[in-house]
Parts: sequence; structure tokens; C-alpha cells
Amino acid sequence: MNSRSHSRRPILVVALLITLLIAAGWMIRFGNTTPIQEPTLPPDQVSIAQLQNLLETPVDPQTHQSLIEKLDMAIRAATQRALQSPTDLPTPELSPLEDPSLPSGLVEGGTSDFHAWEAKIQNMWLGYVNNQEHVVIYAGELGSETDYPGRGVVFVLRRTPDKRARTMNQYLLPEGTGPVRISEVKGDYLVLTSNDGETFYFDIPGQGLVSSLDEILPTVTPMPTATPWPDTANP
Amino acid sequence: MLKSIILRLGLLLLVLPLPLITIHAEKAPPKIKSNTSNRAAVSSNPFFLPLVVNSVRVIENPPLFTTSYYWDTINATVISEEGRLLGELMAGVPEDDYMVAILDFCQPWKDGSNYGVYLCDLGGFVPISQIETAVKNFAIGYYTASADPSDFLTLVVGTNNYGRYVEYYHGIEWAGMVNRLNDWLVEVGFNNKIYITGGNDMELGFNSFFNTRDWINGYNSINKYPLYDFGDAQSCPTERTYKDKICTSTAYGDNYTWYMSYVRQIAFGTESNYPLPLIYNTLGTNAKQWYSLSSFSVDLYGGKMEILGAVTQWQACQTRACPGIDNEPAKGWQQLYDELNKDPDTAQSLLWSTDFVHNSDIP
Repeated sequence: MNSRSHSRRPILVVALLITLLIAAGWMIRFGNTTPIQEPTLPPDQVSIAQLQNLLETPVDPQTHQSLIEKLDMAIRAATQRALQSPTDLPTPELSPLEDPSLPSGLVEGGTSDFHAWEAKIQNMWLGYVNNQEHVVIYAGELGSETDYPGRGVVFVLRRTPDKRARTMNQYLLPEGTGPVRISEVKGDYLVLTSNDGETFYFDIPGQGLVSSLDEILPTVTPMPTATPWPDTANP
Repeated sequence: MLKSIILRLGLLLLVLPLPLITIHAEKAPPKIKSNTSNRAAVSSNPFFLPLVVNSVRVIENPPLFTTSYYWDTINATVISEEGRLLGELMAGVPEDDYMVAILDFCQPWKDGSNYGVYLCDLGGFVPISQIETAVKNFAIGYYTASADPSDFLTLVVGTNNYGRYVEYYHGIEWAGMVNRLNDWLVEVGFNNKIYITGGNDMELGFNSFFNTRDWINGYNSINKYPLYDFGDAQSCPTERTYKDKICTSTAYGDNYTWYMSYVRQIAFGTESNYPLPLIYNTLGTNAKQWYSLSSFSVDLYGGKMEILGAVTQWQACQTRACPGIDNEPAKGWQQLYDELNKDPDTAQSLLWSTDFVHNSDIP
């Protein structure tokens, strides 16, 4: 009897320790969990609550200062939202604005028209072709999160003059071709050169890669004209 | 012996709830709301099958997403029409009173001494004064159609950090515009329906940390309103790192290396900025990157980042193939929510979901 109780004691001690460990783990896992605040409040109120929570944590002094300034800004937003305006204010009229003229010609350098992980552009050709469509032809390489990172590519953006419709097409250069740039414009063709010195040709009105400057692609079908806007604000 | 086995089994049962195992059911694709020209979708309805009922956190469904815009025009009719549609959408969804929309005018530019932007898709130079007018036109469209008095729109006026004009003085000009726009909201009585913040699509592949920081410093020098970073965290780690690691380095040299601390700095580390990040990757990589950054913020600065929501580009990918980077809005939001809330240190609610489209893709 005595020896049996002696033999059970280590098991009980281990069990007790494990239980305590689990309890401690449980406290750490759930005890410190910031309550999830459901977004039923206005965003400024949510922000105020979350910033106040953050200010209770031991953040470094610089972060603490930035949080205080953020809190001031959130309070200002809440105050602005709550301001009562006279009810008889007239709704302002729309102000007409004229779009800038679209650029044309060869433009060196890249563009933010593509995220860096989509494509890196070396240069672009822009112009009006085919029933006054504005066309941008981008030359460069595909980005890191595409199927062929680093592969030479040409993108063609077509846009109706009123900017009501657009298409974007991608033309891959042969496998193994790295970044390309537009090195020359020859009539209706763009001459593309890769970093390795390879040359390619792009037919602008036909919108496709061709093997030589003698090859002519059929001109692409113009984009359908969209119904004009009831343009009351833009004369 | 038997008692020992029973004891161990009992302990095992106690341990089981700790990992907070949640099984996600297959999610349906987002349903399209027909009355808004396919530009708003009702979120999918994921349900969760808890193994241990009393330990499962209730996970909220993704909110209704709004449309955000890459503008290649400032045409008043086009812009105000989009504002009007958003006002109608919000009025038609009484359970979602608080939404966000980003108006992205793209690349910072300067023409002579005049600061402005080069509109998206190489749409030409527009000075800041005209961007200001264009935003007012959007706000007028929204306000006049916003029939629900409890609706409140946060409108983000955005540019990006691409190119040579990402500089201190451009940041000042942008903040000045945002300040004036909010003054105007009060003046015309729109302040109880709209709030305007600055925004910047700050991408690690677009520019150096130092140029980007200069722009933010300029913004912060006169701003009265926040700055939302709707950019990326390209190539940042996807797990908790406990130390500052490199996200990207390029052939342009050390000045173009981005560390995690740099990304945190531009997204949340100053007195004005909040992340509203791009969660474009369908595999959830971006959500993991922002979890990693928020946990890094906890470990090195003592507190998580307050992330506002998820931005996707699903609609922008409808007119051209962008496989793998065309995350649906509800999925992007859920990925980010799940990543942040898997760890008590970074757990938080996520207010918003918004999805980009190019304005000329709109039917």
C-alpha cells in the first residue's frame, strides 16, 4: 500500500505541473488577447479606441509620441464629423474640368502604370492611330510575381479619345529574352532591342510582333465608340 | 497503468483547444450586385467549424467592398457619376454605414514650378488645384445621392511614390490640398457624410525609402489629416522575425534597399500614417507579409500596427489577365484578417475592403 502510494506520487506531481503549465499557457494565449472590436462604430471612434489601447502598451517613446498625435487627429476627425451645419446650405455645382492633352512620341524611363511586381518598363511610345485611338506601347520586362519574371515584354494600351474604353494586351518576347527597350521608331514600326543586343520589330497599326520591317499585319479593328456622356459639366 | 493512460488522455483533451484550430469551409465567389454596374459585390459567407466551441473567436464576414479608382481623367461628369453610384450603393446597404474609397491620381509630377500629378495610364499632367476640384466633384456626386443619413465615407486622395518628384515639397502640396478639402467639406455642410485623407500607393519597387520618407516628412509638416499607405510590402518576410530583416534590395545599390523597419516607418511609424495595404496575391502571401510587419512592430517598438483594411485589384484585372495577383476583395480581406488574428499580439478588427478599377474600364 505504502509502496503503491509512493509510486503514484511522481505521476501526480508531473500531472500537477503539466496542469499548471497548461493553465499558464491558456492565460498567455487568451488572457492578453485584445478584445476584437467589431466595426460598428464610426471609423474615427474605432481609431480612437484602438489608439487608446495601443497607448496602454509599453511602446517606445517615439511611437508613443506618434500615437498621441494620431489620437489628436482622430479626435479632430470625430469633431469635424459631429459639427452641425445649417440645413439650408445649397449643394455646390460641379466645376467643369478639361482633361490634359495626351502625350505622344517616345518617352524614356518607366511608369507607375504597372506595379513593380507586374512589370518594369524601360520606355514607351505614345500616339494616335487607327481612328484616333490613343495608344501607349510599353517595352520592358515582366515583374517578379508573374509567370515569367524577367522576360521581355511589350504591353499595348488602347484607349478611345474620350477615355471611355480601354484595352490592355501583352506580347511576350521569345523565351530567354530579357528586358527590351524601344530603340527606334521606323514609320509604323517600333524597333525593340534587348539587353543582349537582339532586335525585334513591332507593327503599331497591326499591334503585333513581326519578323521584319517588310511584314505587314492587318490593321486591328477600331474599338467601338461608347455612348457619349450627358456632358453637362464639361463644355 | 490504466489510470495513467486516462490521465494523459485527459491532459491531451485539455491541450487540444490551445491551437485554436478553425476549419474554413470552401468559400463561394463574391456575388455581384446588379444595380451598381458590377462595381460592388456582396462578400462571400465563410463559416467556421470549430473543434472546440468555447474557444473559437467569432470571425466576422468581410465587409461589402467599395470600388477605388485609377484615374486617367478629371472629367467632372465621369468623376461625379462614380461618386453618385457610391452614394447610392451605401444608401442601399443599411448595415454598412462606414466605407472607404481611394481616388488614385497616380504619379507625382512637376511642370515648371507647378506641382501636380501625371494621371494614370500616362493621361497627362494635371496641377494640384485641378485634382482638388476633381475630388470636390466626386464628393458632390456622392453627397447628392447619399440618402442614408448615417452613411459616412472616408475618401482617400491618392498619389504614389514613383519617379523623381517624390520629394518634400510635393508632400507639402498634397497635405495642403487635403487640409483645404476638409475645410471645404465643413463650408458646404458635407462634413457629417464625408472625411478626406491623404493617400499614397507606396511601393517598395517604385522608389527608395529615403525619397519616400522625404515626401511623408513634407506631408507631415503641415497636415491636419492622416495619410493612408495603400502600397505593398514586396518581398518582406512572411513570418514573425523578431528582428529587422531586408525586404528588397535592388541593383541600384544600398539606397534602394528596404528593411522591415523602413516599411513600418512609411506605413505606420510617423504621426500621420496608417496602412491600408494591397493584398493582391491570391495565395495570401501579402497578408502574411503584413502580419510579419505588425508582429515586428510589436517586437521592436512595443505595439502592433493599426491596419485599416485590405485593398485588392480584382476589377482592374478583369480586362487583362493577371493570374495570381487578382485576389478577390473578400478573399483579400479574409486573408489579412486571419493572418492578423492568428496571433493575439497582432489581433485587430479590419474596417474596410476596397478594390481598384481603371476608370476607363468602367462600362
